[in-house]
Amino acid sequence: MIKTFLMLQEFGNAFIFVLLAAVLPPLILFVSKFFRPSFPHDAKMMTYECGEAPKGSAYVMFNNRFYLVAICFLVFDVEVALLFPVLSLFKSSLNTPAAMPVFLLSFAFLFILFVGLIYEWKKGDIDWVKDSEDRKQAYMKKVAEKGRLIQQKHALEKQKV
Amino acid sequence: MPQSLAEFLDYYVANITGWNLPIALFGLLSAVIVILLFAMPLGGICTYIERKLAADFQERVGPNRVGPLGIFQFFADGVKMFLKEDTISKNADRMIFNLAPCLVTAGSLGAFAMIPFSKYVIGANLEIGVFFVMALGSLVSLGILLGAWSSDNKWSLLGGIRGAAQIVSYEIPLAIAVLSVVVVSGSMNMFKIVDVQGSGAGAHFWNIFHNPFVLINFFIYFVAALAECNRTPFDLPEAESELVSGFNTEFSGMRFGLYALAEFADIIMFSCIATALFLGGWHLPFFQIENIDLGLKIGDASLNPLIHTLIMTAVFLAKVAVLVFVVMWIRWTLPRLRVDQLMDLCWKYLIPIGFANLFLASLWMWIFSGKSMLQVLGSLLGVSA
Repeated sequence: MIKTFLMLQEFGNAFIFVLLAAVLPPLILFVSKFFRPSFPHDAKMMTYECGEAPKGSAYVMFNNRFYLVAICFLVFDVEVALLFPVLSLFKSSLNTPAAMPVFLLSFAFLFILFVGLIYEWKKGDIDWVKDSEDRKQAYMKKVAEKGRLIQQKHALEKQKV
Repeated sequence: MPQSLAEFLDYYVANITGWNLPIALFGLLSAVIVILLFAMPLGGICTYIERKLAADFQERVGPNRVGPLGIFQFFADGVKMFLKEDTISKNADRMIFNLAPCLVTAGSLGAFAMIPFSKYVIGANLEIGVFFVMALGSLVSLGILLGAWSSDNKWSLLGGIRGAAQIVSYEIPLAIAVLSVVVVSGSMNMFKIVDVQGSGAGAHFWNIFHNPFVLINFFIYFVAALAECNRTPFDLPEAESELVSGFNTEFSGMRFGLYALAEFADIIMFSCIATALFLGGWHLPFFQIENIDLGLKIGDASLNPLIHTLIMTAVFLAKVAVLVFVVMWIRWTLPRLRVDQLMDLCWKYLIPIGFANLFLASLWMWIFSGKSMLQVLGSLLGVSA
């Protein structure tokens, strides 16, 4: 009972810290309201785009890879979060029969995930510029084709002459 | 004996004045002391030190006008930002724009609650301390992404997306490196993790010297922490030479100041965690500060905890200062990485190496039944540690 209460008190302390840190910005901004100037102007309130009038909205499409990274992260992070409590018990179970199950379970779990990472790696999903090699080859092919056409053209012109 | 800062304050107030005040009051007091009187000024001083160090590295003079050697520069900067006009662009999403700095400061300043500066000074002595710190640390990335998204600015959005991808990726090596420490010390409580790193009975010196794999994981932690704080060579979210100012382009005046402060608070926070988890926290090698007994007293209260706290905090902060210096040193030495190099470094090097080290560190624990490198060496040579 007392132990539970003490633990709650520690969580209360942590909560006070986070709360104080979170209300700090509005508090400081509120206090500085009485000291700082405020002359709003249409041009001043414009979005900054190197001094030009902004063109369109900022909510443009962005690279799909960011999304892939987020998904990879999600899997790994959940897994790491699960491993935390299991592995924190590892040391206290060292000289007991529980050591083997803790070790094997957590690392079998980790191994499966690692195989997933290797699969992703081989598929090229964690390469940022995945298709650059393909693109390069396609470009080279195109250049070669163009060169061949030009040569043909020259040959035809020579024949005419 | 007191364990957290709130109990520490309560101990002295109750013994000296005889008042019996509610402990929650001391909780608030400790939060004010740690955040307002410790973390924020330290973050401010860091901006000054950074500028001065940069000047030294580039053979310039650096700030030298405000106060002797310019040490009040950070104070002048703070006052200037405090008095600046606060502009929010018309198209910005005002609610999220206002919320974003709160999340950033909650993540970087709030996490100071879990840092054990000395045996008695820890804001909240949670059993899941390490986990809580990691969770709070990831609030910063949320704040950066929301701030960038809400400002309706192309530079901000690009910086914010990059920042989110980077911070999210580097959180995994960071967590793995921390996990190896959890395996070695068998607890998630920050206080207990530091406590077993002493040189007394039942303790195994600093965690970084526990076994070679934790040593490697310390460097993985350090690299990942650099990326988490958006410091060079991982400062892509800010990238002032390509993205104006990155995620905080639209933030002006005090809002920008809070972002800058939170960045430095973040660096100090990650250095503090590194010190507590890997570098032995408040412990000095081969010497136990707890053994100092001057026998001084105020009323019924022994002065020993106070003296220990002062020495331990000084030792802890000295280690933190070394790490912060290395972070600044790296900033003025290395150029910025490219996005694809950044992702390759994380997913192809740090994560596999980190996982292998975690596995090997656990194996070490199993084979040598929890003994550290020095203890194994001691038993081989026939010396009792």
